[in-house]
Amino acid sequence: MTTINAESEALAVSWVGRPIKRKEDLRLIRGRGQYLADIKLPGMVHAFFVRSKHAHARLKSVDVSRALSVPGVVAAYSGADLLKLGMRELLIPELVNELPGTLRLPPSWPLAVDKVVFHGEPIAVILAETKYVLEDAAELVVIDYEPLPVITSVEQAMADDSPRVYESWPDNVIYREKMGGDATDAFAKADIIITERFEVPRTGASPMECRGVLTQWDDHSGLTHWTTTQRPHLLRQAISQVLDWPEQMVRVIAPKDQGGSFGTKAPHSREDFILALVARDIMRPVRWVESREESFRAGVGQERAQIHEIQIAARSDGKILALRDRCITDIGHGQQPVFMGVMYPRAGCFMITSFYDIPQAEIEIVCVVTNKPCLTPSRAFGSFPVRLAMDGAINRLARELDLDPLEVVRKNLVTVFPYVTATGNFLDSGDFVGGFDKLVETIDVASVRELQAKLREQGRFIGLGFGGETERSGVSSKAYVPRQRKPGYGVATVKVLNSGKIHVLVGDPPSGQSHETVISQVLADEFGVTPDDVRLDYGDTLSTPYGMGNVGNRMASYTVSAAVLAARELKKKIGLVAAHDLGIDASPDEFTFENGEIVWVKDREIRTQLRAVAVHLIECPIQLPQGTEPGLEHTAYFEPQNVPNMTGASFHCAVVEVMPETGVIKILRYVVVDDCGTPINPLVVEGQVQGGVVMGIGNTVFEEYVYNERGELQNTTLEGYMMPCAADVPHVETYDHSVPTPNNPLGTKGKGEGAPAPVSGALVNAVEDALRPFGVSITTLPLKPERVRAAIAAVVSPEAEAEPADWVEPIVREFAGEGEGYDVLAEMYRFYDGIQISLQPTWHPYVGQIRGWLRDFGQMLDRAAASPAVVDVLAQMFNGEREFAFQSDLDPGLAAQWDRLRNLPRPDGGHAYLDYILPALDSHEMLLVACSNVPFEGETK
Amino acid sequence: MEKTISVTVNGRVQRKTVPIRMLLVDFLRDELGLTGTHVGCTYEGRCGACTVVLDGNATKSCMVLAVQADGHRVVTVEGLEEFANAPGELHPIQNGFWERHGLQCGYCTPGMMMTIFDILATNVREGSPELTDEAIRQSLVGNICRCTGYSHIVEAVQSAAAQLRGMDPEERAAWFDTAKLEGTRS
Amino acid sequence: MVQLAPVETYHAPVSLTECLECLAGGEDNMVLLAGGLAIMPLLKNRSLRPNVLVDLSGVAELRRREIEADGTLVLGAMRRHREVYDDPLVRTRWSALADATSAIGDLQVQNRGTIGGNVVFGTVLTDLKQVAMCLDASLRIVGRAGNRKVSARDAFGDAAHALLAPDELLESMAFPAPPPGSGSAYRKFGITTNGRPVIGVAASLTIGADGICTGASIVIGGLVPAPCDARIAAQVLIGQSVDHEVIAHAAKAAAEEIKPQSDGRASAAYRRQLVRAIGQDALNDAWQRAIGTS
Repeated sequence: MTTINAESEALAVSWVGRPIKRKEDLRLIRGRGQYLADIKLPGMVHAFFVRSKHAHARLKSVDVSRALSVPGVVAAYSGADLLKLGMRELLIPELVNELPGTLRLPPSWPLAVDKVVFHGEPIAVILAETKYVLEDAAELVVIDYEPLPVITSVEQAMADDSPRVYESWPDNVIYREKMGGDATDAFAKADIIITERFEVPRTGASPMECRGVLTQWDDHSGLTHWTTTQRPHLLRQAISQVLDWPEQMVRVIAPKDQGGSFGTKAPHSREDFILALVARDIMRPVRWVESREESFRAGVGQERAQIHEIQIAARSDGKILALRDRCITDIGHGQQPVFMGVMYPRAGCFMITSFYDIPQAEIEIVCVVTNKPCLTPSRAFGSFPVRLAMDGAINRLARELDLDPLEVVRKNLVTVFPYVTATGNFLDSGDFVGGFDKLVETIDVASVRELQAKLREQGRFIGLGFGGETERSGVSSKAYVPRQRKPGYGVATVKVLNSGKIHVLVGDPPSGQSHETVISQVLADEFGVTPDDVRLDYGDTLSTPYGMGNVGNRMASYTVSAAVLAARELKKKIGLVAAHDLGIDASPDEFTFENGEIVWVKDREIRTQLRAVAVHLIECPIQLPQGTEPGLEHTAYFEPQNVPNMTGASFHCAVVEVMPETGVIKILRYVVVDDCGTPINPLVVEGQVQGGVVMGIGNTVFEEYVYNERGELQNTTLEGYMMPCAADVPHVETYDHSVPTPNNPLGTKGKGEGAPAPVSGALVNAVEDALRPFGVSITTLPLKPERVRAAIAAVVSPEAEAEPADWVEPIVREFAGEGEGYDVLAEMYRFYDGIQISLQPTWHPYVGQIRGWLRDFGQMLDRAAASPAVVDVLAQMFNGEREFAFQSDLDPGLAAQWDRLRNLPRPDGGHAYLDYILPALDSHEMLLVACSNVPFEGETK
Repeated sequence: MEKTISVTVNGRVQRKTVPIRMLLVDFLRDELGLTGTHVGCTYEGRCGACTVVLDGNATKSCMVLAVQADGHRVVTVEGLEEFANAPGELHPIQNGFWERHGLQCGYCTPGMMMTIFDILATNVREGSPELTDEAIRQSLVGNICRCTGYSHIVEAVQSAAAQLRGMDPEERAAWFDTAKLEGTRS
Repeated sequence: MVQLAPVETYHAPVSLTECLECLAGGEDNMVLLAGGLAIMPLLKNRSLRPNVLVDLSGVAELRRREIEADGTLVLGAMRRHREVYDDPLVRTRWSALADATSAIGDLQVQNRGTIGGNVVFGTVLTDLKQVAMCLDASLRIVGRAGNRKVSARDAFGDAAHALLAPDELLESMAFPAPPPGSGSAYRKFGITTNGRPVIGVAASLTIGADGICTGASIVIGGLVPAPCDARIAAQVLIGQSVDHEVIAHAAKAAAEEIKPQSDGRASAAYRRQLVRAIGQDALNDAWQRAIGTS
């Protein structure tokens, strides 16, 4: 075995706190990782989901029979087929939170049965011997939809006369809650009240590895189910409960390596349940590897999406007295087990006051359903938009009072611990003022201000902005059980092997957070061995202890603590046996563990090998001290005593330059000061913070999931979604200001979750600060250059940006319709970001067919143009005011030609008209429009 | 529908009959079992996780058909160690990533390293001048990482470049000499 | 859809003659692969379902790079972007072309993508059309019926103009030697670093020994349906003693000359504003390079 850190081995110093190289890396940098898509089983078939092309429709029929005729296809199932196999709805009572507000439950079939409520909802599943055959077959599934009205926004959903996503509901509100108390008094006493509305669109995490499942059934083992998940143990329970299979017959395994999760792999995916059912039906292993487009359409990693109508009441010196907030969230369809889309705004609002001492808070949470995919958890769970609202509002307060925003922040920091916020959030420990001061000192605010003044004279605009947060390091059973009937404890099984090596088992699987390294460092210290001597396994429900999941900053605080407790329990036993074997009268805690030896502190000459004691207890369990059981394994559970949770904090400051001509934002410096209790591996902590901040920059500056009014995601590609690349982001500077928590053995706090959240506030505040001379206010994201430029232009030169009076905006018809042809072309358009591809008769791969069709259609259009009545109809069609169909009474010849073309058969049974001609016609039309740059002839405007 | 091709992968000649429509990335992963090359964006050619070195150039293997690689040389992440003189020795790029914590989940890492292989091969050909962080970031725009925030990746490249700079020119060049791979294999 | 539909036949011709035979025999249901970067996604989402694929990358004639007797640079259509900008002569004499090829996509795209594929594939979102127009390039087209030459301005400046007949192939692009005292540059604006151009401005200037501009060309891409040759803006520069003010004036004129459209990535008004800003940068670069070579 390759030694991880040979040079450090001999040093008898603590492993905790050292930036050692990671244990995970050796397999990963050699291309030997074991991600889900890398696992193959003999006899395995591949799965593909046929997904809805409508955001809201009744399913009149689903016919998979033709798909079965494709050679290599093994099986195909519709929702009706799965009902026969025992498919049940997902939102069983065990998978629904108990919440203080009013919650409605939508229907929740894993595979659509009678209706679809979002574009991309799975309708059929196909199994085939090779993955290349799958899509050939998927094209042959015939689905008859009856489209229903589509709701895609909060405004639509909340309108009095709105159609409903779920017809039996009185409205589209799925959840309402009042949080905090009554702030009327404080608002009455305030010198100043700030009111603002912030809106954050759908953005989120989107890890590089999409989801996947590999599952098989045999009658002895039951279900063995590999899946990309952060919570294998809870998924095992869920599969057992939903499908009504005995829990002992379900085994869930998280792959050794997962390509990021960031919360997106915490929910139980509907695909897990569908695939378990079909694998049991065909008795062969089934593998599904999600595509990026599927992932985007399923809403994986789509979160944020909150509107905050926030008010803060303050004294004229900047001291905040109270806040009010109304948080409205479009959660999508809401059918996701456990989270249901409502948990994110709840969690965010619960922590809204973060480290600010704000005595009163009055919060209303409203969640509505729409025909979009359900929101899924994304790193910084609910907090990202909330931080923009809070830190943004404080920035406004400072501006109104003409105070330095940093001064106002400092004035309002919590200084006494523990502290309970107005919403009931518990802050156990920290040094907020110290951390904040370290940030201010690091950024050297005075010199930034000086430079800012100097550059402003030259017409350049830099600015500085603050954002920050407190984050919970895991959540205890006290908080989880009443809501989810799930425990919060951390749990770990530690085994000392005969050889004196250490084996650790935890239930919660990592996906890049360095569990192997971190646990090894901690246990190396406990047992006086090296990290190389410690092995960690995780994520298999067969071999690891029940854990509630690798979520919400739980690793360093809860799981590590449990491992430490287990180790200490074993050390007591080892001490007892060592004293016995050495023949000394020593109590078990009088030994230290060093370099594989157990040393008596009262006489360091007296020592024995860890291995010798292990052999005695495990292999040769005779002559043990009275009452000592053999074996050297222990499972320990950790919960913080007497407190509901532990708290980390971070303080962010951005310095930006805004280019007034283009609106481009350049981040000159991004500095973070963090409290993670006790850093176990500073390199890992730095990596977590830098990665989180860059995700936050992406969410703030570039990313947005854009839906059209038909509920179709417009950017289904990474290019369209615009995750930042290396050249788009700055180096993130990280500094440590850790305050160990007194509530766990090592004082550790989690650092994986929160880092993206404060970025929204820090960057928006910095941009506003830079543009202070223009008085620009930014209340919505992303901070695209055009949006920033428009804000500047609105103040500086509204008329200069206006188009000349004789300017006519080219007509670009929205591409609307149904059917495969539309989808294909829509796909092409999306790929090119909405720019029209001009199907000019130049070289084009399809030029032959298209030219012929265009010629026919050209003649048709010529003929049409001769008739004013037809032109009128065409104009209406191009305006989307009527269906693309001719009435035969208008021009019988034309209608016949149209019908002939639209009924041209295609070898595979599709319609040439839908697939090719209509797209070609559309492109042709757009080409004409774009060329002429004037209204299309006959267009009535 | 099918074609027999012969591709030199990590120094070994691989002869297989594959469907014309098979992508190079699927050929590597499914036909040869070289699963170190990953797929992150599925079809658009944006994420860079499937990057391999094709005839010395970093190339997204999801944008090339296997039949197009017929008669060409491919190096994948699994081939990096083959440049070493002793078994178990890592390529300076691998060392750089390990030293500087250039990876978290590791999913983008193989593609990232193969792009860097191209960047550093060029750098070595030019006599190993210092690389600026800015230049490194610009050359990595074809590879998306969602974990690290890129700073540690930039440091990993700098670390690898520094290791190479410490070698004599011949030794340096040997880390990028794909012909050498074929010499050691047959 | 992420996997290609079944493909019957694959050809990898090694000569131009063989290519033309494929073209003539391939009928309608054939797709040519140059770099493949624009076509491959359309194959994978099954927008295109060819029976026949023809890979042009083995045709040596299409990858040539020659300097003709009159100083004209001839680049084969299959010349890859990186081969273009790695060429020191291109960098110094046809700088805008080096700027543009090094700004297309990312390193992997530049390694694989070809200049011919970039201009021939029918999307307006290319960087090279405007550069070819600005540098007065001509396109050499071969076909069974014979060879012909067309200027980039004619070919790309009017989207309705047919570039190729079905049995024709773009063989090469020829960039005339720039006159003494010239400099050219290309600047683009994408939302992310490697994004397609929302606006791309190619500029070239010729400056006399007295500092007076004797020739200017500004061509703006990122517009539907075709790049715009900003002739009025060029006239603003010609005959002037060039300085930052004149350049700002020309960029403003260019912004007024274009007919931008709004789409999901930028509004028409913002595109105009970008031409003001990016146009200045491109002209400044071109000017500096022109003075440097004076």
